[in-house]
Amino acid sequence: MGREIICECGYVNPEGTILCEACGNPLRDDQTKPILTMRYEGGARRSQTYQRTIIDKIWNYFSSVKVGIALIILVLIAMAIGTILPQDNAIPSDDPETYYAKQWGAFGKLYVKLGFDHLYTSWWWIILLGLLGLSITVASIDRFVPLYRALKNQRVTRHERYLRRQRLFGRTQTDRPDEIIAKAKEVLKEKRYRIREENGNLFAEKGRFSRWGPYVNHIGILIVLLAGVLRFVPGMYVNEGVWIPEGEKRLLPGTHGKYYIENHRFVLQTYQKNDKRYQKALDRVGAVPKNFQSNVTLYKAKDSAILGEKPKLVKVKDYKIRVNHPLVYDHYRIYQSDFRTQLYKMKFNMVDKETGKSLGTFAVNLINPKKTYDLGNGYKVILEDYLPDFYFDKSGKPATKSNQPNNPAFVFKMVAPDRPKGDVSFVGIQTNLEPLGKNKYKIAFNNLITRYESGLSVRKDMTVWVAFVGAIIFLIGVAQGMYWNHRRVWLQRVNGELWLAANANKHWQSLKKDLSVLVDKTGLNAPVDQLEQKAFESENGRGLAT
Amino acid sequence: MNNEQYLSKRRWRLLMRTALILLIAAAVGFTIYQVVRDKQNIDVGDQAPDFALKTLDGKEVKLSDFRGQGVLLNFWGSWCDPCKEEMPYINEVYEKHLKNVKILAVNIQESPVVVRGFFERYGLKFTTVLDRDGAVTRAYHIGPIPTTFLIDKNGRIVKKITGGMDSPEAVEKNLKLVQP
Amino acid sequence: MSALTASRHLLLIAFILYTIGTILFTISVTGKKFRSKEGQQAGRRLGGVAFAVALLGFLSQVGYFFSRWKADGHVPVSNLFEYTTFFSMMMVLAFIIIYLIYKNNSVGIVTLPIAVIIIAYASVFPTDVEPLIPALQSNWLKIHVTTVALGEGILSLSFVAGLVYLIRVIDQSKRSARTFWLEAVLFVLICAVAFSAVSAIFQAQGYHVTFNWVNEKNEKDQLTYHMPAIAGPYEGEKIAKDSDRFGPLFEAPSWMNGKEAPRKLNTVIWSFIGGVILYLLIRLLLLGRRIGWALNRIMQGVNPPLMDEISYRAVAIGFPIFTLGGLVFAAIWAQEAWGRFWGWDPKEVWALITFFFYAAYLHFRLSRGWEGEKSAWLTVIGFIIIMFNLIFVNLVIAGLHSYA
Repeated sequence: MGREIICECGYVNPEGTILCEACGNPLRDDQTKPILTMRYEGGARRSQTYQRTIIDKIWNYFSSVKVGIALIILVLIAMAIGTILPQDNAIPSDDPETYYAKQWGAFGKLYVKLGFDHLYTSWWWIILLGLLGLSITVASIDRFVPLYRALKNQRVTRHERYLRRQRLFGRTQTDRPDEIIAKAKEVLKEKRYRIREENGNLFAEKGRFSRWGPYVNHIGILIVLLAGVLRFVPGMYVNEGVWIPEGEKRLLPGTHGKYYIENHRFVLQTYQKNDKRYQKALDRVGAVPKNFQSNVTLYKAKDSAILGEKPKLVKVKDYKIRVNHPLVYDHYRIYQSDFRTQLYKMKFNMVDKETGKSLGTFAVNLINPKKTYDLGNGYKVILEDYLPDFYFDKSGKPATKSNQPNNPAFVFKMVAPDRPKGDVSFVGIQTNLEPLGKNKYKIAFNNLITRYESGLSVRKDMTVWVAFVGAIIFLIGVAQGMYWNHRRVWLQRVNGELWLAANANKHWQSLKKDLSVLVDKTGLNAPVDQLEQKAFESENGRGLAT
Repeated sequence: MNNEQYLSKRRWRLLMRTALILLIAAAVGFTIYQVVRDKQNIDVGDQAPDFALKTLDGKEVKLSDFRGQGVLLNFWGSWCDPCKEEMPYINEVYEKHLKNVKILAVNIQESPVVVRGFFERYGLKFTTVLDRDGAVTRAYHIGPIPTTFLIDKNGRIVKKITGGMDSPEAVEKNLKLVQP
Repeated sequence: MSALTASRHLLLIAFILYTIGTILFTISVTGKKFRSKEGQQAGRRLGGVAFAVALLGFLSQVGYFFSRWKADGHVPVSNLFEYTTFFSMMMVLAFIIIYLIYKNNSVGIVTLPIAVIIIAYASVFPTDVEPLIPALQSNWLKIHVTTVALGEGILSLSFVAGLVYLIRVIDQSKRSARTFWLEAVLFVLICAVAFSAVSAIFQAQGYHVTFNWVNEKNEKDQLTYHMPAIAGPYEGEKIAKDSDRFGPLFEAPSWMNGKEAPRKLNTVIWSFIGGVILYLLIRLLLLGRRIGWALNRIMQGVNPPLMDEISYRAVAIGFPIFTLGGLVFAAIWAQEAWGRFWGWDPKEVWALITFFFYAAYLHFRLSRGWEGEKSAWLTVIGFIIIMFNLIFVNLVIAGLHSYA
């Protein structure tokens, strides 16, 4: 076939190999540098060796670390730009296009046009992450296979050129090589190296598993990305919100009619002003909230009712939902996420305008008002019309802006024994009109009753565990690759000398420490760090002033 | 390694590479499809979610009771200006009592006093139900109102109209769409 | 003595010990030559003493941490003063770890003064004991924040080693882009010193000026500056009592949405002015020569390949810890508190940017020609990103973390 490369030592290497898998002989002699490049053990990255189909070309392209780095940097820049302006879920508007343009002008317009307002759900972001996933997959497979082969096939006896061009290298003239090698074996064994011997040469290796770290952590990242995809599978993810006033029961959105929740009370606590410990800070910043809490009861629907119908409910449990303490049930998590105050009831007196005497008090429920309020003794008030969020519309007529009682106004008819037809009065906050002529009676504001509404969010996320497992695998992988290193020591007889060469894939200091012990105990000459030597020489050559 | 082994190895490798690339492309395609497709919507062709709500008189009305008839389902609120324009048009068509069609309005979270006041003020005769806690409004993913759905005799949504219809003719034309 | 007073004393002691340590480390390295045996021997002994002093300083700071914890009633990492102080402590811890591995003095020359600067910087923020808002009342506060700080501290050490590397290898005999950018980095560090000095001066005078303004939540509010206002709040007005006080010369732009952003901007401006003055003074003392030149003289004994390895090692140690604290623990807590483990909040995004950046760094190191100087510049950028997330995200962008 001729595609394989046969080394001097007789080993047959796959095409594209740089260093012989068995003896380390540099097969391509363009490596004129004094120190060998030991990345991937000089194995052949398959993709580099042939590319005939389009698939091979794609594969080859994404196998490159440079492409990977470029993708990482693109992702990084995109995210950085994405934080310049808020994302569209954080703006007080449903219409990003006009909002961004209004707030930030041409830049805002461009921002929306490029999809930065919803960066993390934009099509090009997803493609970018997909390409990153592809790059991780391809680059890992392409490197793992040859690296695994090279490390599995390595022989004890190495080519002279391989040894001489290791970063740490030393020669020792000796007439008792057996003794030294035996001692070295003992020392290295103590340091937990795995030892192999062949023809009186020694090869010690430690921490090879750390070479697999990158591939393990890449698997972890791919699982995290997979979790991101799974989130879009129907049923995997629920994210809803609901406002519930105190005393009310509501269907929990996102639960398909299965669960209801009743909000008994919302509790807001602040730190006490006279708390000695925090007094100074409280004086400086004012009130600080201590607790947001909704006391709720969770119910389960007994039968599946259709929407709007009240099914029979079975109590599941009482719970106090606080920030950091969600109610968890059946994969659903219910969070305390917000609160607001709602105008709930307004109390009025019906008053005789002349005498100022009150003829009775009544309360109007602003959420669900009654029509008639009987005050006794023949006096009653009839609610003719109700405008929960009162304003004057374009034609100057009273109208309501919304269905929320933000600014309630009422048309009351006051019936009294002496006014059987009733006086009509228009009552709002700070308004009291008599649209149909002079009245004998009036409605006087007495009191306003508010209540809290709890903002709860309902979440279900079946992908959490996938992402979590991915993250754990990632962390194991990085720790494996970063906290351990792969060290190898060769001790070989060459022409009556003992050659000592050593290689670490990173963190050379730990290897050097091992070697200094080895040198001390065996009497070998200390190996030279050829990289430092080079730095030193080039500097002195440059003639730096001292 | 002989030539044949070598080639079959390469064929296998090509197959695996193709499969992996396609897998990732499919995952990306799926995600983009899900993101771009706005799930937060009920659209033409979907089955109209069934509901049961009470009228002003406290009578329960169930959407599925109208199977076999066309339904005009109108979501409205008394605070909404286009609704004030549109409702009388709908009423005009209602008074014609077209055959085999039903007009049903759903009020969004307002009290009976307000709704009754509104119906009296505008002289409306057709049926409205009250979605007191907003569950139905939410299920139909109502954004701006009025929003009208036209539902055929099988309960399938035929048309969705966001914003007011501007004449009785428009209302009638739409209603005819679902008349069986 | 109350726990609070004790914590203050202990922090001061740590501050002083770090300063002494800086001086000792500097002497231990000064004038030695790369690969000269005698120089290394002498330096090693003094370096040992310097390390002991630094270790004592660290223990004193640990003492500060726990007494402050007692005073707070919760882990003291919940406001900017506490977090920043803790960050400096983690940086010193990272230094201790690296020193134990490499027994190298030159890293100390830069680490300890940066720790000193950071403590001084932190002390400018309100140091009152503050209560925890509901969102922070969680065990994850301890776990998440301390792990992040440790990770960032170790990653910062890669910057320190990278900086030493750059100081050592950049040829100061002629001006170049490299000498310029190195000077720029040193200038920023000087600005941080200036910030502490300027703050201390105005605080000693008790200076303050208060504005009425509309804050980032669109509420009417008052904002008190403790330095003369160069940049005022957007559409802010001085309160009547302060109407005769200095400034502002201009208003902060409206898009700065962080908590009390205009005041922070004003502080940045003062730091810059102070930095320029201080920098020029030092240049004057050096008879016009670059600061990089002077430091290069001191660091002749530094071993460049070793510095490169230390810098890489620090990333190798710090990266997994940062990922654990800043992404994994953060996600778990976010899931507990807000119901989503990831929400693209600006601070989260910048933590992810930090993660990606160091991931890119680790991959760059696989490419030939990216060891040494290029890597060192990358660690400088990495440190800028960490600082950006610590300071500027809170300054410019409103988000869930803006309470800090």
